[in-house]
Amino acid sequence: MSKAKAKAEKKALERYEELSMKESLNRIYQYPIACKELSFILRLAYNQLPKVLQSLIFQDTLTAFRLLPQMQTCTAASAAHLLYQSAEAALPKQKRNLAITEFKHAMVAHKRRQKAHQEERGSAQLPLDVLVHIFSFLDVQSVVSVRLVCWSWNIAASDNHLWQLQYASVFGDSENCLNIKEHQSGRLVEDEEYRHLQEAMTTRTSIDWRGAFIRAYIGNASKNLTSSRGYCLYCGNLVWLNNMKCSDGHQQVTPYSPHQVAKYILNDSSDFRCSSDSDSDSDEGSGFILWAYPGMFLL
Amino acid sequence: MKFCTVKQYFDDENNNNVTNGIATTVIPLPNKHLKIKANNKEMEQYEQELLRNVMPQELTKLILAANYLNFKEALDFFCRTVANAIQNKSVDYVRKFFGLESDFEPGEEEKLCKEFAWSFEGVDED
Repeated sequence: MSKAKAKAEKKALERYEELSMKESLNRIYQYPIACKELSFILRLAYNQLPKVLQSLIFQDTLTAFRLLPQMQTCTAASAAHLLYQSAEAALPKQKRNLAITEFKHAMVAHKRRQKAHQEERGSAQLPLDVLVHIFSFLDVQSVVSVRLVCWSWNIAASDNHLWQLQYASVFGDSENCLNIKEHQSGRLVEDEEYRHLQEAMTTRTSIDWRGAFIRAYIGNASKNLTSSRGYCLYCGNLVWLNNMKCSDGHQQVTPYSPHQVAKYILNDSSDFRCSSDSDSDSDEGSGFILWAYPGMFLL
Repeated sequence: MKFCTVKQYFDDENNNNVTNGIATTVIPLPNKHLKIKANNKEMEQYEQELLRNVMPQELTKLILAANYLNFKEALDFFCRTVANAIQNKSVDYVRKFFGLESDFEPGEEEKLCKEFAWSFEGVDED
């Protein structure tokens, strides 16, 4: 064997060891990537690698299969399947048969564990439509945070109809939209958006309500979607707001910052009845929040 | 009409969806509802009591039972109770409440978090 070749082989071995494949495979969030890496290594490089490295790769492939039952995610299962296909294509006969057997055992164990896991949580598993129903009672902020609980909740919280309800509830009917147009600096955006939605509704094209909600929210910077205090014109007093509405469902409310609430207590309430959304306090406050996260709306 | 599914349930021996204990809680509900329909405050009290006495697991079973029995009022009631319990709470609290585990990969969770970063203000740490 020439010196150059020996050097190249040593390099390959070092580089492979850099990958610390075994440790990576043990981590649930790195497992799929590690499997994919192994797949590519098998398909593209295995033949040209020294025997020592080949057997290392083979061992790691078997390890990957043995760890599969612990990795209860779909990406893990599909990554392992990919690895199995590569192993089938690239390995010599004996090693291939060993790998196939190992993979088959792993899949059986994986499925068995999944089923057991499901049954354990089975009684606590809520069907999707029930989850969506529960979320329909939540305010926007809660819907958004509930997406992070787990995948099935994420799917439920992204339901198009749910966001349609939220849109209607926050940005309301045509009357409310007109009010928004008058008070907003971004009114051109709101106009077009509104017209676009109307058009979509009349032509019955399917609307991505979650996207529409976000766009409308951007054009409406001063609105605070969290529960906050406000003055309800209908009730004639301060109320807690939910999604910019009075808890009794009245829409004509003016949000009040704590500063305004204090002033309200000191002064006559009639001073505040015409208070518009463009109060400098609340504008600055929520404006800052938006600008602090540039590019966050890149979905 | 509401109870045609209930009749079916009693006829159907092999039923995993609704255990007897749950059935005894869900079925008396219509009577209770009729009594306290007018009185919102009592409703709140009843809700609070329910939450205190009933573990989240039980609550999900109740929801499933109401769903299976096609019992809209009870379903709405339980769903609203759950919604009130998780309203404005942190993600970890909700997970603990239901005994759920995150099946996200770390990168995914961060990405989802960033999508709606502006909404994570004023959440109870509870």
